[in-house]
Amino acid sequence: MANSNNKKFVLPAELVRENSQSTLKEIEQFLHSIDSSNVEIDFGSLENIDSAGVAVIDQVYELSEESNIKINLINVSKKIDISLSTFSSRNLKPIKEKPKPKLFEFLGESGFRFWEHVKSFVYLCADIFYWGIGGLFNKKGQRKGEFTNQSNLIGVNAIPIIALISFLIGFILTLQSAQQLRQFGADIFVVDLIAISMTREMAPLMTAIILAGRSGSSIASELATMKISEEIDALKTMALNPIKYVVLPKLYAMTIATPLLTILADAVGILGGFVVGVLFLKIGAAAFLNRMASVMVLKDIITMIVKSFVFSWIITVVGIYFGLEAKGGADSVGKNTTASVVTAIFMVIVADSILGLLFY
Amino acid sequence: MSSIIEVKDLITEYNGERILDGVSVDVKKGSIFVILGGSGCGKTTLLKHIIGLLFPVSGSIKVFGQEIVGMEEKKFEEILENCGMLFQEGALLNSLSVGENIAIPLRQHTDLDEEIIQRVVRTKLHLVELDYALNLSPSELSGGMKKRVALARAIALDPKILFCDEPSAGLDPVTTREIDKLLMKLRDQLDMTIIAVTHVVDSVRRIADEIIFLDDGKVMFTGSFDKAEKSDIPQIKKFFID
Ligand SMILES: Nc1ncnc2c1ncn2[C@@H]1O[C@H](COP(=O)(O)OP(=O)(O)OP(=O)(O)O)[C@@H](O)[C@H]1O
Ligand SMILES: [Mg+2]
Repeated sequence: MANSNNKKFVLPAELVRENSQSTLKEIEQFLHSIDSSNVEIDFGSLENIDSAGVAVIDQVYELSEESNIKINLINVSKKIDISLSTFSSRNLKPIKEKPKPKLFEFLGESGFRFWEHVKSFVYLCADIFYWGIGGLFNKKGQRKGEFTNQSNLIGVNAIPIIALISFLIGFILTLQSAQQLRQFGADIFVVDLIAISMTREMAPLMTAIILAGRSGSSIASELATMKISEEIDALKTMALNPIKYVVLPKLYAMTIATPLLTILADAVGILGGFVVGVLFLKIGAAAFLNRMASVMVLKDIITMIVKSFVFSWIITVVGIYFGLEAKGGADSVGKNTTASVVTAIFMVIVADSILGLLFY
Repeated sequence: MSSIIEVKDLITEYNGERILDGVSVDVKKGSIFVILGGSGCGKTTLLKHIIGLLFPVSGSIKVFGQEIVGMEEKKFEEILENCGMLFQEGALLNSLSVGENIAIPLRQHTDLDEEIIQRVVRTKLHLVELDYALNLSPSELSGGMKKRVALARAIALDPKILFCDEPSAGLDPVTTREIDKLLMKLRDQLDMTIIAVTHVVDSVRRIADEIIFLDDGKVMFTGSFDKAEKSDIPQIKKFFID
């Protein structure tokens, strides 16, 4: 369609999103190929133009200005002219650009933001601790019946999955270590191994990890949803403290449920070991139980319980923090939920190491 | 008539961006005070500052004659118990039924018996003409219905001050008129002070005792509807021309 002789470019019958890009290319080539400073674009046969087409024309204007070519639009019909002015992008308001931070600004800003996170996390912990203790004695401002509800959701409903996983872990742990111990004729020590490692490590840790995935994530996502849909703000305007109303029932339920679930995990895990010991290693039920009774000490159990309390608070507080930090739209619910699970598991494992050293 | 809310030289920012730039407002007790202004000019922001959800950069906000900027939490809660707020998007608690949502403030701030609470809840639902929605969940409601339930919740405790962020956005003209009538009834019979944001000119004409017009972070106009309609400030003129 390019007609370089008389410096005129004739547009096709349609300039719509299907052919805009290719037409733009053709016009560009045409502009390059001519050596005149006056060019006409003929709209005579154009019947239909959409906003993408108008953007192409605007783009051509800008290109021609850069290369000092004057563009004349000819044979523009009334209808096309209206489209041109409606969709024109030539006189748009300039957008405010946010200045891009320089490297040191960026580092400073990130550091500052991290520090702000730490600060608000500490404030939140203090708040939860304050209301958590106070709430035990003063039930005003707490949602009625919510503790029972949360206990069911967090505790009772988690029983099957925690029992199953603990059983399998006890089972497999015993099976794997028995093979090694048998080489030394030390079969019976498998009881020490399973009883102690289950109680001190595996039961609290596995329970915490499952709860972080199950309940920590649901706490975070529920609060995040409430935050972005202004439910938290609505509670505040009703003179209700969101910590007391929404958070405390979850905190209490977690505090009660985690140790109980950990004890369950421990018992079922050891049962898994017992099954292997009796059925495959032929240790004998009585021998297994006697050995267990003689190796386990109170300290092992205390370690387990202390760990389970600490883990339950970590999971809850991290979930609440990331939930309440949610800002903006629905995407932040997903992001913050993921962040809460990852952070909770990380902090649980760090805490586990620290407690492991303390109770060594 | 005495002032129930006095805002002086309020300056507010979001992430360093100035939204309100020296706004002063004076609301008389028992009146309907309407905030007008283009979308995004900061009407919701103003309401949220008055009800203490956001904190200003500077300025003073007095509610019931008490300065609330920097007020301690316990004391502010007492003020809040006399305020109700209808959020722009409703902000109903999704995990509770419609009836339970309306019952929240009653359960938390009164020691009424369950039967009495239910009676109050159903009366308030009736006032917004949603009797049948009692046991529905908020997710089963349309946008306009959510708005009306949220209004019922905001007036559950017969607050002295009611904040309404676009009570009739998304409602048909008939329901809008009913809501307007309800707001006027609350003003006339309970001496409630109502601060409403609305874009519906007809509705402003019906309910407003006083109007302010926000533009570019400042109050462009304060006065009655008649005065506003005759104003020759260009932004306001544009607003009233259909
Ligand atoms: N959470 C927020 N973070 C950052 N900026 C915000 C936030 N909320 C509002 N803004 C900005 O503040 C300005 C005023 O918002 P506001 O919600 O008060 O407007 P509005 O007058 O209520 O508008 P509308 O009539 O559309 O509801 C807007 O320009 C908006 O971009
Ligand atoms: Mg708004």
